[in-house]
Amino acid sequence: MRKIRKALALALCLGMTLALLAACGPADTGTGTAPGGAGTSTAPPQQPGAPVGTGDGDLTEAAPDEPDVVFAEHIDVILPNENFAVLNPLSPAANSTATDMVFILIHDRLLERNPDTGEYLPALARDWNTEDYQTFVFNLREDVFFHNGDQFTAQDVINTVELAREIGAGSQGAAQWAPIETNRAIDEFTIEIVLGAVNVDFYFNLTIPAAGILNRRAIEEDSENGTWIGTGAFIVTEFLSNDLTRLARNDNYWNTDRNILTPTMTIRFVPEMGVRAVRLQSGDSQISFGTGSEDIPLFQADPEYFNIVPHTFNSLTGISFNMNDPLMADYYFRKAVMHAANRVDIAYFAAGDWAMPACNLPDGSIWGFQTEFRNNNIPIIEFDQELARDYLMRSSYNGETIQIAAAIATAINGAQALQEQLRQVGISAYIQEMDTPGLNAYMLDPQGGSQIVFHSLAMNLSSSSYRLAFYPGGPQNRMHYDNPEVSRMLVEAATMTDTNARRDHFLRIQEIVFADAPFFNMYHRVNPVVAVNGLGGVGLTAENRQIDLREIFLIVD
Amino acid sequence: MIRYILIRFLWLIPIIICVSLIVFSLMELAPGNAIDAMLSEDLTPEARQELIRRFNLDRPMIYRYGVYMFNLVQGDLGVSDVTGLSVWREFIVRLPNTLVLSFTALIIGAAIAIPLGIIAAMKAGSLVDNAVTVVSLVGVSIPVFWLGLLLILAFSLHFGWLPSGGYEHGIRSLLLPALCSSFALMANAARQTRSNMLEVFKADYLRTARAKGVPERVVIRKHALGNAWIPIITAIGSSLSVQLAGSVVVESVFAWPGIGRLAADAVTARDVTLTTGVVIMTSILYVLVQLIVDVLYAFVDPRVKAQYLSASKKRRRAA
Repeated sequence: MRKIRKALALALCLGMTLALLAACGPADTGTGTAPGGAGTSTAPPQQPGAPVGTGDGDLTEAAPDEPDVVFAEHIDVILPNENFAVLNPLSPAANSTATDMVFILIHDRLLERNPDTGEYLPALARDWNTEDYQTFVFNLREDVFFHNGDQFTAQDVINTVELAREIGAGSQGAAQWAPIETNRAIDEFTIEIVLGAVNVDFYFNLTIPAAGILNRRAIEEDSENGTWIGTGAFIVTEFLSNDLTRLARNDNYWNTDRNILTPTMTIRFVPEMGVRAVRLQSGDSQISFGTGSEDIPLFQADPEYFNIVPHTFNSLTGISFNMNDPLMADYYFRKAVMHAANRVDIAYFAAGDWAMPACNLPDGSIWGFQTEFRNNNIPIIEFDQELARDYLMRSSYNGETIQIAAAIATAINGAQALQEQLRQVGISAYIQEMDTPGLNAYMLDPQGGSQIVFHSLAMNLSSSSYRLAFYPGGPQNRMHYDNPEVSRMLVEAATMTDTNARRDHFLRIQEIVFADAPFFNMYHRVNPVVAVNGLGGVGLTAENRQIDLREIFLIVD
Repeated sequence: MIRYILIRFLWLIPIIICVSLIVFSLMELAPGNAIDAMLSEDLTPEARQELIRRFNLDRPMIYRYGVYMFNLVQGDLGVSDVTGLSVWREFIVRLPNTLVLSFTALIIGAAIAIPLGIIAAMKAGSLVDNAVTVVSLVGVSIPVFWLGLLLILAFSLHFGWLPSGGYEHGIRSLLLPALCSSFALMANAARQTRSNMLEVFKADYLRTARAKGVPERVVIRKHALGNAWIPIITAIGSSLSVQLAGSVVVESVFAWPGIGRLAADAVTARDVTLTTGVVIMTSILYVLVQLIVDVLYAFVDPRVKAQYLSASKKRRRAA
């Protein structure tokens, strides 16, 4: 009897241990097979340039103009998995898609931009002009009021610029106003802005969500919450840092062209990924920008109720080589790594179906796929293990183990795939996992840093944003890239008023950077946006910082 | 008693110094700082330098710690490095949520655990006792994270009775996180009650009471439970302290905006000022709860009360 009990206890212990080990293993993300594998792709083939995913609906469609349609009184929105610490465009912490999404709702900018055509559209500025891209005159609307009742005037633009200088150091908001040298109100609704130098990107700056116009009186009365006061379509009724924002429709909104159909909205951050899916399934939330790719099959199985739309980001995910490191500064070694990497497998291993391998685009440009002046003649660096071995032989590599740093889960998955592919050509590598602040500190340290970092090059639709990546000291320049010719051209580009000359300039920059090869493009992230059927009016553009929910609606009947 | 309470409060001073120093040191050791955490795409090297100066990151840690402590003795917990909002405000906005969650969990846990423990002890070795023991073991072993997800799947998704998270639906929002938090507390308290009651049941005075014909109900309530209270209160007090310090897991699973999530977010964002402020405040809460537990001992156990009284009499005589 005692022996039987002992055997049972042992079996139970073994069973529990195995169960624990099984639970500690990676979740089945549907990737199926290991990355790499003798030069063959394990991922399903994809159409070149086409966003992947299964969404057949369109969240961007406008509300039907039918009298008997009933819209929801409230919509609950789940934010992307990003920080949501402040509602202050002049805070350095306001640097996420999540905060920009709310800024578009509560603040208005002088101009907006048609994401498809690149055309600038009137917003708080009725019209505008410049002759030299240094002095700008904006005629402002006269029928706009802030949420606290103050009328919007030219003085508010001046105040916003002053506030940016006083309290906005390091913020996105202040960066947009930084080129301004002087400004003056010509009259109550006309303002003249003079920049320190010619800057053809200034109009673009004004369309950034963090460049909303603020109300100085509100900020002086309440330094913590005064930045919530804008002229936007929605009014903040409650904000809890990294948790939620409650919004109510601004019934006095000036822009009557916009169809603001939803009276109240809650925009929330849900920390636990699994709970985001449950919230959608239980009807607690109606749209999620932060659903994990592993939860998507739950919604695909219920097409009667859910709509899944792939939102492809313009930004590129890839690897930066630390050019300060002697081995990484070796061109042949970098080329060896590039040819050893199978981007299709890496993308698939990192995010399953929810990534678009960069090699599926018609060219090998390191520009975002919708960034202006994309050079379509940049050749694709092909996956070729023989060529990789050849480059490796010519390099200074001596069998040392190189470091690949990565922070977020998808990048770590991608780095692991790359690690295996490098092993196949004879390069030994290990993954240095860290969190985002650690990675940023590590990579920006000019004396140290990882040899390779797997990360996202967050770029917007303006070519000038590449100055942040390829100019020495730029916050995105994790490769410590410093090519004097590129630096000079990047600075010059901002002053070139001739569009054709500017285009040529940027095309040339891409050629030089491609030849230097400090960065290797892997894939564009595709975020699955999940919404209940009947929801629409969502402004989704390739620029993930410009998600516009002002006209969101949900048909309930 | 008052002297004892005062001494306990004075102990807060070295506790705060130690806790703040440890937090500062650990945050210093962690790679990156608040600027790295909120690294903006538009952060120029010049702006970065300005932020470094603003946060005194160009100064040694001991200088920053000195400035922090100088402000702290004036009652100023500072402003968050990341949000620029007052640390006190950030804490106080979330404190009621944590208090409500903790005390509800305590009430649910204690209300179920104590009767269960007593019944298990009274029927020691029976099926009921074994069932209580198994449930307690499960309660102690089950990961809170997993239990939370199960509760959400059952009550929010399957039955649709309760919201899956947030705090805006009042008591309906509270029930699931409170139930989840109370589970471990319940398991601990039930086990503690059972074992203490079993100890007390062996005591001579209970046999004497029964021999004198005292009804079993009175024997249990007055004589047995009265003597088993102290370890039970200790167990519940410890669990409550942990809850008040913020249950990061429960608050994250249920998107409950409490102190635990605030602290976790602050650490992730390398927000030294907010992290230190929250840890100091939760340390004070922890000490307060332990003090209340100590004071409660005197109420439930006349022997402890007598100790306090005799000590105070001795002092008076000596004076």
